[in-house]
Amino acid sequence: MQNKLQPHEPRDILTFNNYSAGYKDDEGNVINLLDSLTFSVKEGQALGIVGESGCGKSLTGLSAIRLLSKQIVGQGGTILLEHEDLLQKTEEEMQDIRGSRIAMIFQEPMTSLNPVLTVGFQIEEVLTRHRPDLSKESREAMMLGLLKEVGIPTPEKRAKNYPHQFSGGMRQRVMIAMAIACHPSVLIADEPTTALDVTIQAQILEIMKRLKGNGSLILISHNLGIIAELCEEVLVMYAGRIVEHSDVKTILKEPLHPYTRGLIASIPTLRGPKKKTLYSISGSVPAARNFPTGCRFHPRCDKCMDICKIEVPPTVTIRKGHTVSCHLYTGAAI
Amino acid sequence: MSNLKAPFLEVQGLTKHFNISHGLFEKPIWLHAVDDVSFAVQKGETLGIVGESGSGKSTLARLLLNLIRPNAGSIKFKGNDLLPMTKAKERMFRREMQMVFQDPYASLNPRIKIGEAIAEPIKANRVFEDKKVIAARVAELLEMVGLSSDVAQSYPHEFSGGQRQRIGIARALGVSPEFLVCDEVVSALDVSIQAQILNLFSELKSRLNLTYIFISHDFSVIRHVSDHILVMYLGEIIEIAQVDALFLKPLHPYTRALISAIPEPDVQNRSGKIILEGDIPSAADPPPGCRFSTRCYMANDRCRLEHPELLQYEQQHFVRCPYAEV
Repeated sequence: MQNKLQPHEPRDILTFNNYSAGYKDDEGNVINLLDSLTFSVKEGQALGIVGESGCGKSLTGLSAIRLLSKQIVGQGGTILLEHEDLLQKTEEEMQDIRGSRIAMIFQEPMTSLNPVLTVGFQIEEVLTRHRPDLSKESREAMMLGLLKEVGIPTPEKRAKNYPHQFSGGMRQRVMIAMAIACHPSVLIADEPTTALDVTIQAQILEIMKRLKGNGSLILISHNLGIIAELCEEVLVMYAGRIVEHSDVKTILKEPLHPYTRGLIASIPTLRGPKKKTLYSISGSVPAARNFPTGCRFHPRCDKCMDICKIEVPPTVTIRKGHTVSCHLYTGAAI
Repeated sequence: MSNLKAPFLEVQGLTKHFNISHGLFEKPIWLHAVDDVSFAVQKGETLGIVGESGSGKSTLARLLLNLIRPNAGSIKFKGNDLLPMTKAKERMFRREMQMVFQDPYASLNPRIKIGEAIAEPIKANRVFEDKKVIAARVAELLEMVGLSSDVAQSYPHEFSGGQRQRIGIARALGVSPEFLVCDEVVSALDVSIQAQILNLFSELKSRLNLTYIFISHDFSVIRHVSDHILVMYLGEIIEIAQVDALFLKPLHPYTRALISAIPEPDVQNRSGKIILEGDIPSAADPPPGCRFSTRCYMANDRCRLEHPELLQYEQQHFVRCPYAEV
C-alpha cells in the first residue's frame, strides 16, 4: 500500500482488505468460506486466481461484484473499488456500478445470454442502462463497433442473430463485448475459456490480451498456463485462503507453498522427457464444513509438521511482491 | 519387428454417417461422424486419440465397442473379425473390451450402492455366479483402484469426482478385460486429481497388462499416456505418429496449430503461436477438398478442391497433407 505514492507504481484499482465470508446454514451457524483475503489489482494489470474447484476462486470474483447468493454473508473486511467500499453500497448503487465500472464474464456464455433476444439488443441494453445520454443511433454504432472489436465477422448481420445461432467461441466473444461496453475499470473473467476447444480458446485469449491495457483484469482459472499467458501476478487459493501471491514468473520458477508446488508438478508437460508417474497431491479439497484446523492444506501436505495442525500460518513476505502462508517459511520473512 | 505379429486391434476403413434430417420422408442429410478410419494397436500399447469437439473421437470409441453399428469397415480384435456382430460373439467380446466414460456419475444409478453397481457387469457377463465370490471380487476391485473395500455399501453421491472415476474404472475392470477404451476420463477433474487418476491408469496397465485407447482433447494428457497418437479432424485421421515423433515434428498444419495453441505455464516455451481462424465446420456439410482447408493458414486452390490422401511420411508417421514439411 505504501507503494502508492511512488510515481512509477500503478495505483490499486480494486482492493480486498481482510475480507471474509461464510455460508449460513439452516440452524443459523456461519461456516467460513473465504478467510481474510487481502490483495489488490493494479491499474491496467491482470491478476490471476488459481486453485482447484472448491477453493473459493469464483466466490472471490462474485464478492467483488456483489452477486453472492443470500445465504452467503460477509464476515468483515472491505472491498474497495477506487477507495469506495463496495460492501457499503445499496443494491441500487451496485446496479449502477455493475456493468459500468466493474463487469464479469462467466464460463458458460449460453446461460448468461437471453435466448429470446438478439445479440445486438443485449449488448445495446448495457449501453441503454448505463449511458442514457447517448442517442439510439450512437448506441447502435457503438454496439457494432464492439462486435467488431471482439472479432465477430459481418457485425451488422450477426447483431440480428439470436444466441443459439452462435458457436461457443462466438458467444463468449459476445459476452466480452457486453462486459467491455462501458469500459469498466475492472473486468472479472471466471474460467472464460474452460468450455471451449483449445484452438477457440487461443482466439479468445488473443482478444483478451489485446483488450488488457484498457482496464484491470481478474482472471479466474484452474489452468496455470492460461494465467501465465495473460497475467502479471497470481494468487494461489486453497480452501478459501490465499496461500501464495507473487508475480507469475517467480511463482512458476520458484513456487514456495507445497500446494503451489504440487499444482505445478501435477501438470503433464508438453516438452522434455516424459515423467513416468506424475506428482500427485493425495486426497481432495474438503467441503467447507470440514475445513481442517490450522493450515487448511495440512492433511494433504507432504511437509506437514505438528504446528500446521494447530496454528493458522501467518502470511510472510519472502521478497517484495511475493508472500506465502506456510509454517515452513515463518523464519524466512524479510 | 512389430509389423510381423498380428495387431491386437486392427481397424480398416471404419465409417459412420448419421442421418440428421428431421422428417421420415425427407431427403436424408448425412453427418460424416467418422470417415474411413484405419489404424492398428499392438498388445500392451496405448493409442491416444486427440481432436476438438466434433472431430468424431467419441463416435469412434462407440464404434470400437460396438455400441453403434458402422456403415462400412472392419474391426479385427486379436485376429478375429468382430463385424458383423452376433449375440454369441458379443458375449465373448464384452469380457475382453470395456469402456470408461468421462462422467462416471452419469453412468451410476444414484439409488444403487456402488458395490452392486460394480457387481452388475460381473453378473451380467456370468464371470462369477456365487454371491460370496462376487463380493470378494468387488472388494478386490475397489482396493485395486485405491478405494477401501468397505465403501461398497455407499451410494454414488457420497463420492468426489475423482473417487467416482475410480469406481468407473473398477466397474470396467470387473470382467478382467484386456482392452480399455477411455473416453475423456480425466477432463472433468482438477489437475491434482487428474494426476492421481492418470497414475492409477499407468499402474493398472503394467499390473494387469492392459491395452488402452485413450481419447482426450488435452494434448498434454495424451502425450503423457500414449505410445502412438492419432489426430482427428472432422471425422478423418489427419495424422498418426509415434508420440515423440509427433511432438518433435508435427507435420499437419492442424496438428501444429493444436500443439501451439496450448497455454503453457513455462514462459520460455511460448513462441510462434498459430491462431486458427473460425470454428470447426459442421460435419453435416464438410468442406470439399481438404476438410481443414477453411481454417488452414497454408491452404491453396488445390487444397480446396482435391481431397488429400493419408500419406506415409516415415515408417510410422502418416499425414493427410501433401504439403507437410519435409
